[in-house]
Amino acid sequence: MRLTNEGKLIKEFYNVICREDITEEELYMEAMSFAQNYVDEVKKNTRFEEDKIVVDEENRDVYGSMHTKDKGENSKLTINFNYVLHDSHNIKDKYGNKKKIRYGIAEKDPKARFRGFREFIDTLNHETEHFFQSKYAEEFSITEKGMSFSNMMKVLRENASLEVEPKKFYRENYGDVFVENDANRVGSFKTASQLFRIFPNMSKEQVQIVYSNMIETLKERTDDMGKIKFDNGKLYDRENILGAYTDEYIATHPKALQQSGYEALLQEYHHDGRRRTFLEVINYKDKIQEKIDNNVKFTKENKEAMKNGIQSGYGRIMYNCLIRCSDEEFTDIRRVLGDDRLGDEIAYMYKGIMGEYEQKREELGEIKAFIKDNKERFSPEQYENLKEAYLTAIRKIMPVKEFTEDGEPYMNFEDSDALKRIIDLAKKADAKPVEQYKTRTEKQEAIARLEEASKKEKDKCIERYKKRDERHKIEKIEEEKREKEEQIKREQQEQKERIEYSAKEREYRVKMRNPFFRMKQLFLKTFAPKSKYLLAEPEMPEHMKPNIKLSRKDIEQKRNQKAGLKKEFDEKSLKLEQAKEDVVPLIAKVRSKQLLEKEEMVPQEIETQNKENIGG
Amino acid sequence: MNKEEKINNLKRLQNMINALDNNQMSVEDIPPEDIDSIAMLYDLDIKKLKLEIEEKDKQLDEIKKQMQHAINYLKKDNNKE
Repeated sequence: MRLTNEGKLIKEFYNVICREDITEEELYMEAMSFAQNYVDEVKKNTRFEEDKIVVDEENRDVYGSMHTKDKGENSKLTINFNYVLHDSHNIKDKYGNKKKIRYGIAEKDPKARFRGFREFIDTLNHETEHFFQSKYAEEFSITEKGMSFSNMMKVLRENASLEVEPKKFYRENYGDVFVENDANRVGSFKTASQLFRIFPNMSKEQVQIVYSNMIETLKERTDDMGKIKFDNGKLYDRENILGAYTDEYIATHPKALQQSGYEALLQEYHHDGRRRTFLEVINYKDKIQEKIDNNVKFTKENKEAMKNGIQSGYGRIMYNCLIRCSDEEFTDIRRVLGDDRLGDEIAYMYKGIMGEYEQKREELGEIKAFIKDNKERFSPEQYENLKEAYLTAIRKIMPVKEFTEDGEPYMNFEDSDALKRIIDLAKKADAKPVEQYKTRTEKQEAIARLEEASKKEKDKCIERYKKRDERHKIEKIEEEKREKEEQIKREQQEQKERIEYSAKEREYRVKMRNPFFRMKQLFLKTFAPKSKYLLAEPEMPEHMKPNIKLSRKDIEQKRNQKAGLKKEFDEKSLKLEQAKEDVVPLIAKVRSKQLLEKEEMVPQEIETQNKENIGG
Repeated sequence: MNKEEKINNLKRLQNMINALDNNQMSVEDIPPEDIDSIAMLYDLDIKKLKLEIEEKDKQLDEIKKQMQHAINYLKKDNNKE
């Protein structure tokens, strides 16, 4: 089977890590070089080919992290190569959560090494997916293929939420945020697909490694459109919470809407940070649909696809507007639009929210197809487990009434919270008929009331944000205080260990200077290694030991820096010599001119000058 | 380590640095126990070079000023004539 360039890179890298004679330093360099070449290859032939991703070393307690920047600046992918190379067991991540065991590519055991290799590829695929998530959301294109409008808005709302609650939101909801679960899905299944293609004759153990990860991803790490924790630790509907956080962020940072990355939120907010009213949103939506319809370049099918594409995104925006309305505001909306028109918009909204579920089903459908296409790679038991895990993942995403014979879910949308609320709204409208406003003045007054309500809502968001900001400041001060105390404690402990070690080491050296003692120790070491009279060399505390791998790299950098400075020094010395030579004739000219001036002066003038000087 | 041992050790480390700078030795060949010391010596060399470059820059600026004064003086003189 012909491999893609990505596949070729992966295969080549695997061959390198399997070499018997490779040193750890070489592995480190190869892994770094592979990571850079791989991410460059992944974004080749995409719209973002020119955007650079720089691979760098991560020193924090995190396997990998992607930092995307605005257009024109580099994105950075940091990888902790310690984790790539070595096994790590039960360590905690920066949020204090216990990590699972990870395996390294430097391990001699082939099974552990393959595991480490799979994890590394998975991480690269996961992190580059974050890059694309950011870029698609930044770009906000309805016409280009890439990410759905609905998913783009999710990414932006999560980014805004992260600004509002940088630690709490992500830390407590890491397993539930869309950007992570989406990247998990891609990381896991793209990797599985690549490995199956590159290694057609995988051993049972290797298949088991790939299979275990697929099961775990399906059961625990796929997007569930469910609940997340809010301020008080309780669980709430994720989309509602993201909307609330985003309201706060945009109300207090309206300029963000001008920056790339947040422009798409102009569908939902005004430039001054005020949320658009329901009426404004449907006007906006109608204008976009009109633009699509009037564009002569698009075919009929393309137009339908684009309009369907924006429906889930707009459905959610409209829903966010309506659930914030008071009864009076809802009545005003009904009286301006008329119940028939409102009914149509509610139906549009309902279909839009359903579209979100449909999209998830499609994404998981790709995974189902992959499992089916690779059935012969798995044992019968593994295959059945994968099918079951797929059904579990589907149930997490959507309310399922039953499954058809070939495993397709029959969705029970009535169980969705969002859709239930929409139905309640529709029922509310049906239950109590109201008269539509007849005059233009009445409609304008109603629209003005809705805008006024939107302004008041913005003010409330600003107040909420201020309180949150105060809380963050206090938390930051407390955290800094805690960190300082811990650092002092740590330094005191290290100092104590340094003193103890120095004393023991000195004692050991002094004793070992005595040749008779040295001989006795050698005798005991050789013939009675467990003797109580054998004096062990004192163990150097961890913090005093040199970090060999990083220091070699440091020395390489310092050597290069010194060479650069030496070159600069030599160049400047040459320049200085040249300048000295150039200035000599100039100074000579000036001196001769000065001398001439003095000679040209009338002798009397000189005499007068001299007398004045003497004081005559 | 006594004084003589320290001096000998320092000479040994300096020879290593010279060999590294002239590419006669690779970073991988540095004994693990010497890595910190070599790094420190490099830091000192880098600091020294930066100071020397700063000094050269100052001297260059001074000469440039002298040249400018000379040129201005000569120009003024020509204009007078």
